[in-house]
Amino acid sequence: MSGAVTVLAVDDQEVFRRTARRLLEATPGFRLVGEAASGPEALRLAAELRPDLVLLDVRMPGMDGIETARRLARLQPAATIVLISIGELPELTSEPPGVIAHLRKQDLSARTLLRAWASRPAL
Amino acid sequence: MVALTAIPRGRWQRLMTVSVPQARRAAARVRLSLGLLRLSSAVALAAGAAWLLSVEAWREPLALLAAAAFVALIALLAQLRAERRAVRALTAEQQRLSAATARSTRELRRSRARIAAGAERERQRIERDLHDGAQQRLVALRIELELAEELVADDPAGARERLRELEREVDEALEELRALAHGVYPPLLADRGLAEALRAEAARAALPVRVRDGGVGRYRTEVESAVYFCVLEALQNAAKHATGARLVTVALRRDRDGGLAVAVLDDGVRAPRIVAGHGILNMRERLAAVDGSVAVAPRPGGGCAVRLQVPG
Repeated sequence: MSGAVTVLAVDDQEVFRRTARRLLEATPGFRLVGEAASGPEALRLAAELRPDLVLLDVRMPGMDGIETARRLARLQPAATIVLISIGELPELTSEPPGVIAHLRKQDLSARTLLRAWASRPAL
Repeated sequence: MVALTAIPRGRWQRLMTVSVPQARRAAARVRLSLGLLRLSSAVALAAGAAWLLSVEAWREPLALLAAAAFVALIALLAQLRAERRAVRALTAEQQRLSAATARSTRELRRSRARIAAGAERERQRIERDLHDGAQQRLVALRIELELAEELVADDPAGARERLRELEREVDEALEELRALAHGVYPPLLADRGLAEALRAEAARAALPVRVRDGGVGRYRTEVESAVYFCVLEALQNAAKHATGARLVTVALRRDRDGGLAVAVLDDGVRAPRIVAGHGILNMRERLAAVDGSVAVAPRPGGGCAVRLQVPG
């Protein structure tokens, strides 16, 4: 599908990456182009695939989602990021640049994804 | 200053039973030295007096006085010397006892810190298991149910298929939760006690295991839990290290004082020297929390014996 929003899903949990795959298949106008299981893998794939949107889990072993988002913003200032986490959302002293939304995993749906994408600042 | 309340009862008793008889023996030695010195002073004085009575010293009062003063001075000096020696002996004993107390306190603090750190690691592991396991599955299910709901109108057959898949995932999440709860505190242990819980575990063990319960009955929750996980550790060790083992026996016995003694005996072949690894250290720390102890030694006929002991 040309013109679709390309998405990179980043989560160390396979079960969640599988769900993200199904969710994006069912969300019109979005296309999953890659999956990463860690922060370093996400940075590598983001540089290679240049996705429009990075769906990024906050809690990951090693480099967590916040650190990955900071590095991603430095490497690719145009990257748009949606942070996702289970339960309470961690309080951030400063939101990494490029983060347009912070969603609880259980609230993730086609509707919330579309709403988050629509809220991104105009270029 | 040692906070006595910070030292578990059993350890403090052990410390005192070692130290008090030694202090008593030192005091007895001091009393004996003082007695001997008093006796020798008395003999010296009596001898001096006899000499004075028998010789012509009576004729010289000044000589008599000088002789008496000399004898008294000698006796006094001897007494002072004996007392100084006694004080030195007592000081040395006191220092030895203080050093022993300080050593025991340090050992207890280290042991308590290890137990606290172990409990903390265990909490983190449980939290991580919940986060990575059941919680992720339930969150994924929440999202997928919504997707299936949207599918119902357009593709009812596809929606049914998805729902069946989701049912399987619910079962997997339930199994993960059950296994996690079992690792925290096995329900059988809580409901039926140590012997039944160990029999259930024996049925799943890698080696054939026979449990002789010895009619031990029930113990405090923390004792049953510590012993149960120690026996599991010993069974894992046997499966790992007891080459060629055909049977592991777990024998439980209630002591006369109401304590619990457990022996885990395998009939495998082991290295002649048993090195205390993580498994034995884990057992030691689990049991230390209930004042218990563990001893691991080769069996005379071959194999290894792990003996656990918890006081009543």
